[in-house]
Amino acid sequence: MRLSTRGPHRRSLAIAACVASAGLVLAGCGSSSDDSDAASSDSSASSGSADFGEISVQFSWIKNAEFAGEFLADDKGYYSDAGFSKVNFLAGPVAQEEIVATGKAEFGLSNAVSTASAIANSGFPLKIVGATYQKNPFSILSLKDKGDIETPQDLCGKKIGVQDPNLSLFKAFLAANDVDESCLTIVPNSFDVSPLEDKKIDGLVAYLTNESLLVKGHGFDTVDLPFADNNLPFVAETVITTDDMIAEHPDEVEAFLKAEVEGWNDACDGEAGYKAGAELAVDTYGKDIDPPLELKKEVEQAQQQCELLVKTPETDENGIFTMSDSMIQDNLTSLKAAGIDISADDLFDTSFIDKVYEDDPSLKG
Amino acid sequence: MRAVALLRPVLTLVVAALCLLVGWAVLLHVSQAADFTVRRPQQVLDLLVHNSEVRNVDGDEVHVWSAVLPPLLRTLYDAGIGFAAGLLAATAIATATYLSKGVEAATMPVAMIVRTVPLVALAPVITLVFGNGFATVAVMSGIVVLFPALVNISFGLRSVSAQMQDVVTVYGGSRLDVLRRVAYPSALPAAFAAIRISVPGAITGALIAEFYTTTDSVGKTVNQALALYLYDLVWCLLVVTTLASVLLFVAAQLAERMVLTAFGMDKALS
Repeated sequence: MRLSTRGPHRRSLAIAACVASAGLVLAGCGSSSDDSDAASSDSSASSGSADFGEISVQFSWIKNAEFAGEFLADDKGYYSDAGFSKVNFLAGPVAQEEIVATGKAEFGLSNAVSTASAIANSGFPLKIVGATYQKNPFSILSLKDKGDIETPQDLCGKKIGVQDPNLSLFKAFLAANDVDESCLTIVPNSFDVSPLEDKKIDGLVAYLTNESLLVKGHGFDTVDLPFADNNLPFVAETVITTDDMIAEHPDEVEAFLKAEVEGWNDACDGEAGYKAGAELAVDTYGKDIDPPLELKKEVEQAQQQCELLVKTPETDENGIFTMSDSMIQDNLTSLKAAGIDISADDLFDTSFIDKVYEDDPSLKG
Repeated sequence: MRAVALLRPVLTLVVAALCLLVGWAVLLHVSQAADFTVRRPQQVLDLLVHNSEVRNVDGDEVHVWSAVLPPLLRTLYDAGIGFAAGLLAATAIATATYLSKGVEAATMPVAMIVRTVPLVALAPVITLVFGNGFATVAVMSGIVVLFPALVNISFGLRSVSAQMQDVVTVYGGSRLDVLRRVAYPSALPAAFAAIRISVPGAITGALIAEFYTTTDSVGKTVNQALALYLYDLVWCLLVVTTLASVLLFVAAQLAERMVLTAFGMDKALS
């Protein structure tokens, strides 16, 4: 037996274990922040002649029609008119708050719950400066001939697929509607819709504008239970940036928001707008996505998000991306239901979007 | 001699802990990660020692140990199931391969394939077959344990010298007798080596499996806490899980020493 050689062997094992555990510990810390200072070097000039250089925008999802307005703003040159030499779109889903707060992107698109969590739980220096979606698109998606979940009470006795990142949101939805968590079964699920289509689960936490249309497109009769209409309203596809950016480069924030408004005004400009945004997603920005985007679904998504989420009676009055006081209060109430206590001033900064419309009222369209 | 032998695992523990702390501090320094996403050793230690309040995944302020302990226990339980399942399967297969060359030819390639495919890639398939429950955890955690244990135990069984086998055979013993009286005892050191490697492996397997189940476990809680930016909780969970893993490794080492000493095999220990 060659057991006498086991001494050094054991030592190397100990080192291996040590390195492995160190790796485990550090896996959570992310890589270093490669500052993109170049992007925000020059903001002395006022809009028009400003040069803000190259910036990055972190999306909340893959590059589909959800970002129709951003694609149009880039394609039609609204970003360059605003003074950005180049705008890089970073696909999600990732932890957008972390990307923006660590300086890997100047702006991010997220939602009120996620951003409020980052601020309240870990002191991230971030603010929401504008809201693309006035209502959140979260819903419980079910099939008519299987789960048929039309009211929160219908959830009882059902098997609901929930993605880990959405678990606390789902629980907040239950709490806001007085549904006892123990009356239903939560099943871990990815963003994949096949368990729902295969009838392995009764319902799935989904986006009204995405999975819902996808499943419908596959020929199923679907039922939606939107969070926004059932006691859990909050804004989504919200533009976030850092407190630093707000303090040091206010012109840049305003210029970016202006380009966003212009892009989304075009994206929501009737059939032609929906089609233009969807085509940019399918043919240009999202052409490498696998499985490929389907144009019909993307057009539908572009239309639905504009009609249901981007444009409301309030934005017809004040302009898109704006956040009214009453809406902000509704958001805070929803956040409270989700266990997040935060004040309006710590989460929202409406001054930039207000200024965009003040400087150019014609943008209200 | 015995006292020295038992001291060795303690030394392992100290060295491992030091290694971890230094590696942790240095990597944070080198990577220059943003302060609000990382926690330094001192910060986590403070939280754990003073049992300070942290926010849990339900948004409540609770003492850190009451947020960390239930998932940790669940994960250790999951790992224990995988550890037992993997080790039992490895022993059974190793025995079968010892008794029959045919079994070896049949099982080894399969074991190799299962081992070569990364567990993360295998996980969705296992979940499809075994569902979102207990069986998945046992299988996934078990797979991590199975292969190193199988190789080690098979090697141990085959390390019986021809002379030893002859002695049993000369006295009229069957192949089974050789196995029971000579092969199993000779395999003990190799089996313990397998156990030591398997302890951290079982925990890793359990953590991955827990992403796919609903239990209140470390794998699940870390995933949820990351989505809610609860970095205090994430770091505390990582640290206690790592510590538990190191402690169990040391415990396995201690058990090895005591058993091998009792069997008079302590020459095998350095």
